[in-house]
Amino acid sequence: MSIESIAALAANALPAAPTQLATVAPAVSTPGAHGAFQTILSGINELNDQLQGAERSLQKLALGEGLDNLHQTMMGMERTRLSLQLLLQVRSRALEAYQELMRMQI
Amino acid sequence: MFSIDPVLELLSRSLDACTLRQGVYAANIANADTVGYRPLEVSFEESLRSAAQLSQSAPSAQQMDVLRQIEPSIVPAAADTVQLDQQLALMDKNAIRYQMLVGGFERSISLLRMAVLEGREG
Amino acid sequence: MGLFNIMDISAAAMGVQRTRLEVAATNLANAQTSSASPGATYQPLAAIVRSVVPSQADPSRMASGAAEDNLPVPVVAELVPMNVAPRRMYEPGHPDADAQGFVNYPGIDPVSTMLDLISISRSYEANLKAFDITRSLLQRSLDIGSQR
Repeated sequence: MSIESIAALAANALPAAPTQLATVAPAVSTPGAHGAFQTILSGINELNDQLQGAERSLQKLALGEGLDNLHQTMMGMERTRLSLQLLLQVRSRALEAYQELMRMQI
Repeated sequence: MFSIDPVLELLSRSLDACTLRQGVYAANIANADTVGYRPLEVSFEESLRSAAQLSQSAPSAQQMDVLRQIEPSIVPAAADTVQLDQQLALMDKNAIRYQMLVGGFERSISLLRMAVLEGREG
Repeated sequence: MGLFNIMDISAAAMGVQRTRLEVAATNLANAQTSSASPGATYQPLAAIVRSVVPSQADPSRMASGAAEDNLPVPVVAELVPMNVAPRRMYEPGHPDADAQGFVNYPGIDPVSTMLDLISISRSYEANLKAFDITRSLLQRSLDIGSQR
């Protein structure tokens, strides 16, 4: 389930990234940070798949094919909407954390 | 206007056809008592579907050019006479379809709006 | 354009049905009027309804090219007397009775007029429903983009 993977990403991966960055500078290239980045990327990929799925079902709707399972279409679109909202939230939190780090006096 | 999204364009063209179909059913009901009136229909989605096989991926620019050529057209219906109940049922179905398309359009727009605003309220 | 024109079609049809209703009611109301001579008897009326395509009837609308202008709209073309033979009733004491004691009444069949009334009412309802559906679509279109 893609929402869960993004949720997991929000819960685990992101708080981990700043701490690693904060401890040592070369930590950017450690497997941990790399993993977090990978998780974000795969989250984005999944969201992209969801968006494309939503687009396909809308297309079916426009061509008069989606009449048999309208609820699937609508629920799929709402799920996509939530996933996008979540990803955007995660993104803005990550950005905030990054800016916080940049302001830090060493 | 530049096209943000081919799907939005498809949806809006489908809405055009829906509006015309609404008019055709209204005319069928309105003219039901005229002697010799033959009911009408709108043909659009079938020709749209057959013009380009695009149920699997988003339509390409060339496909969209082909799709833009297809206009909804008014054709004689299969039945010889108007049956009020059937026309009303068809009209109701068409109205639901219209609302579905508007709903899909709005959801699609709201995704785009969210992406444009980067998650901020606006 | 668009949905507004469609509402006009339904509204025109409701107007036609109202005219038919008036005609049927007039015929029923005059069913019992008597007369001494067959020629002076009330002649029941008939509303002749025709379908008119606006773009063909009015060349100025041809230029607009709107698809809705190609949809036929019903109109009451004319009200014509039905030319039915009067009903002759044997009522010798009646002031309008002729030499043989017959009185002339209009040749109106109340049963078929009542059936007409039912069909008029059905048509009116159907057009009203159609009008309502079109109006709800219009209202829905107004809401586009008002949500977040």
